[in-house]
Amino acid sequence: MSNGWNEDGWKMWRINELGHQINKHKGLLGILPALLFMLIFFLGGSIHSVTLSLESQPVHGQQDQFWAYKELLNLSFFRSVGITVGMAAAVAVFSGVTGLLAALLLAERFRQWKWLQIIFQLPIGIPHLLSAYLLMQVFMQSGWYSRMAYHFGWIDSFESFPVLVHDDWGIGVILAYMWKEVPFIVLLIYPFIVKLISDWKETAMVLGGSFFQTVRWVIVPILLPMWVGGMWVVFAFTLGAYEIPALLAKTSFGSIPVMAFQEYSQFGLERQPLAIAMNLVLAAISLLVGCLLIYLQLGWYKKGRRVW
Amino acid sequence: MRLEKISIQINNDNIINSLDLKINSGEIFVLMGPSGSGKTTLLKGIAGLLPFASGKQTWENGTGTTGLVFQEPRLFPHLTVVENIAFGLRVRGISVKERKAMALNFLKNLQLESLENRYPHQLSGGQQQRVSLGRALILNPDLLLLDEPFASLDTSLRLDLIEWLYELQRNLGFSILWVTHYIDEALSVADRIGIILNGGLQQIGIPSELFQKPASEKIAQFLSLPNRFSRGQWRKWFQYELNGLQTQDRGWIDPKHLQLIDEGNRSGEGNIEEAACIISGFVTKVRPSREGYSITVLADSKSLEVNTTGWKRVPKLKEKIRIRVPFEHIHWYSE
Repeated sequence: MSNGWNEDGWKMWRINELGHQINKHKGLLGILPALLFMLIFFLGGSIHSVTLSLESQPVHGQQDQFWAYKELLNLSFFRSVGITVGMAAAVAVFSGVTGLLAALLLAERFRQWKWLQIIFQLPIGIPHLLSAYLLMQVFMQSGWYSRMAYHFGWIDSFESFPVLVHDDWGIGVILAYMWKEVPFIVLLIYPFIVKLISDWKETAMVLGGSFFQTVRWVIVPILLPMWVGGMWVVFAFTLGAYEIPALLAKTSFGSIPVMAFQEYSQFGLERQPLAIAMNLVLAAISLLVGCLLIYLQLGWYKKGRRVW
Repeated sequence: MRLEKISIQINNDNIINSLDLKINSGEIFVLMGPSGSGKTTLLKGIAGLLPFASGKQTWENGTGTTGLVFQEPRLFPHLTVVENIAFGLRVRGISVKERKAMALNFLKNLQLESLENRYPHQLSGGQQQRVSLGRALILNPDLLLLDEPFASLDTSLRLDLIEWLYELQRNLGFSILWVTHYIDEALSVADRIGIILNGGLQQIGIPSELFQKPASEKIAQFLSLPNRFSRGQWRKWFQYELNGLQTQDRGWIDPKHLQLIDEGNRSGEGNIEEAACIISGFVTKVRPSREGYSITVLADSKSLEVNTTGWKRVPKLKEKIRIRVPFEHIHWYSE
């Protein structure tokens, strides 16, 4: 043997080397099951969806593989894309801003009121369908708030109560989503806001900074990646969910998830590729927004900026 | 700045009790005290971070400003060096262009030229603390409050920064209230030193005064003054009635003034003047020091510290030894 090693020596070296390699990559090995699970389901599901959406059908006597996508190339669908993306963006931004303000108030003024924090987290456990139903019961023109307003003489008739359910602007949909997503944002950022206030409030104060200035110039910038990330999660979820617009938006509203669900479940198997194609368009938009945010975040960190 | 009868409470506990303090213009006042004595609370109170339960804070010119620097640099991690330094200027509504120019100009004082675009994690510990000091100093405070600003740094860096800050203070002329638990740090910068115990200032004086005449045994103990014994013990060793005020019932002597007498050479013993005594004991500990050795001797159940110069003769453990104690070097103080 070279180096004066016998067979046992080489065997021992190989065992040690294997142990060293396992130890070196133990982090990767640890997340491997989750990674494989995610890749198999995500890639497998994506490939299967794309294949389904490209299922050919006879159009004008000829087989057409892209018929589903061609059918989406019309002004009505583009309008629906605008409405769906706009609605998701509005929910994400409103939930993000309201969630941030609520988390700041909870952390700064009501930290000792644990019950208030618990109340804030309750809506997370309520299914979206139920939350839509609850909202409908209270915000309809014949709902609780309308009756209360009528009872106190604030409105002359139930019809005078503003239309918040099945309305033109999707206000009911936005309110229902916010009722669910604001607590999610609060839950996500609250512990970090508590930590950031304890870390930086005093420092900013000795430099003359007010609480508002500390929030604007210190807490929000440091929190930005996580906060925006949370808003993106809300955006992606709202973009693809159908229960709330199905219950609270008017029929002609044009929410793509509702339209896709109808195509998938009500018009026969041959319309399924169209439903899948609609969802893939939404998935592509969601990924595009995600990639844009990651790009912007990388630019933010590029010069060496850190937040922790 | 003057504090009159200041009290500060936290959770209904009195942390600072009726404290009086005056800091003169351009002075470095060092505040020392054990953990939990209220040093940081006092600084936070002066800086406006904690309310005074009673008492008042006044300034020579009517109003005054403070800047506080903490033990950790606490630099905003998402801001560059220049942006960190300019933060207080931004709060004051100074324009971007103007505050950047002011911050860049101030970097020279901080010896941080060419590091203006770095983020805090790209700086060394010493550079971070200089930025932290700069962030407070650029606001031109009447009184700079330092809460053990260099305690987390290694010794050589700490000494360098103390020297740098001392020079800066002497050039710019601002006042400092400097909290530290390092005696060497206090001695190297202080115009005056104050000792705070249990929320009250127990003694204020120039450094030499403080060491020569501690106001109480508690202060002597806090200052780690060695060879502290009661008048009765000294009388026992000297074997005659000691001069001085009877109220000053304790005395300490610096270990460098104690002299070892070689057992093999008793010739020196005959030359002992009246105002000195000889104490016999056993060596219990020998530690090398920069000058020679630090020797602990047990005599009459009391431990004495003796410093020797040079490394020629190393006393052995349990060796019987004799120590010459000159009376004139004993500093007397009250219990």
